[in-house]
Amino acid sequence: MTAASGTYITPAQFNVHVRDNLLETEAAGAQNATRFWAVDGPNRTSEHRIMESQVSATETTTSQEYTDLASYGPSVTVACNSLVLIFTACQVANSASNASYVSYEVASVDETIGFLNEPKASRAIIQDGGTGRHNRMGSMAALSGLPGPADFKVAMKYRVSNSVSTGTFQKRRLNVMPL
Amino acid sequence: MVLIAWSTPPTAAAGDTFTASMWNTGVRDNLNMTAPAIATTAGRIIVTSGVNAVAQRAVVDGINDTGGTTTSTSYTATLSGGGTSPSATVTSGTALMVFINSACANSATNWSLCAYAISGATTFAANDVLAVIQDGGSGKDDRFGVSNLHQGITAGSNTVQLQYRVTGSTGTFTKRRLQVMGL
Repeated sequence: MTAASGTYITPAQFNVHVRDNLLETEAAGAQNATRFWAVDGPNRTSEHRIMESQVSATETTTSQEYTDLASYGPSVTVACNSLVLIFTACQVANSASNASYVSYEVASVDETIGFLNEPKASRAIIQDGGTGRHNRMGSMAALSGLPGPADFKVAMKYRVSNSVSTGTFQKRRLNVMPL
Repeated sequence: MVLIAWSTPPTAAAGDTFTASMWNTGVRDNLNMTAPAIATTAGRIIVTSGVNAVAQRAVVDGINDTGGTTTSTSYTATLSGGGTSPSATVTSGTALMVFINSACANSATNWSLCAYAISGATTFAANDVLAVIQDGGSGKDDRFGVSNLHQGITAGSNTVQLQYRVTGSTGTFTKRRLQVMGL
């Protein structure tokens, strides 16, 4: 509200324009340390959390379709609006001269929303051949267009380019920054 | 500026007397805890530092594009010919986002690893599970990056520095970059 000379500020005006707006500020909404602040919509902000998950086990697959390994994930569930930043890292090998891929799937937790973004090579970590080599690498992507605000599950998935060879995956890490 | 703790703003009712103290505590001090009030430097981010508390944090980078070598099988920040290893010092809460990148090569079929250690308020030794790893491929000089949300940090001033090791032969590390975001 804009004050004018000679006017009084009523309790209702104070409560709406001063008290309630102060209650929308970052300090008012801060509940946990190490969160960052992001915009949720017009004149709305809230604290958001970077989530992380890790699986260190060394596991394999010969699947040419993206699949889970013996130890599922890593995976995280995040609350977000429409955009997430996804960071993956993994030590990747192939037993022959074929490629091993590490990507991820993003799905809405609420099945009625029905959102599913399947793993893609375009955002994968790819170890292309080099029999027996175990490079540890990372990939980062921004995924937009999520039908939030809602909870979404991000899970790493794995495959190889040719089932005659075995992909080996270890030291797996996933970080997700919801916006 | 000394930050005063946040307090719940007063609720006005008809007939109340609004005192100077109520204004200072419930309005002035709370406004002094908002992002614009604590913002001092462009390019910073605002994060939560606790219940009803926020802080300004920096994203800092360290760069050294000069190549250096090591034959050490335990992590070291020292490379022959490589100058000072990239480092970044930030004030943080109990977490950091760390991004590391390096071109790594090995003179034979062994591993060359680039990871990071933390010193200052926190002591953390470099670890293979957080490293960029070039596995052999004699003469290959691939450049990789990995990121990590590092939790369990002791709040305060923390310095992150790249460190290196090999499993054998000579490792060469060039185009080395580190970014650290305080949380």
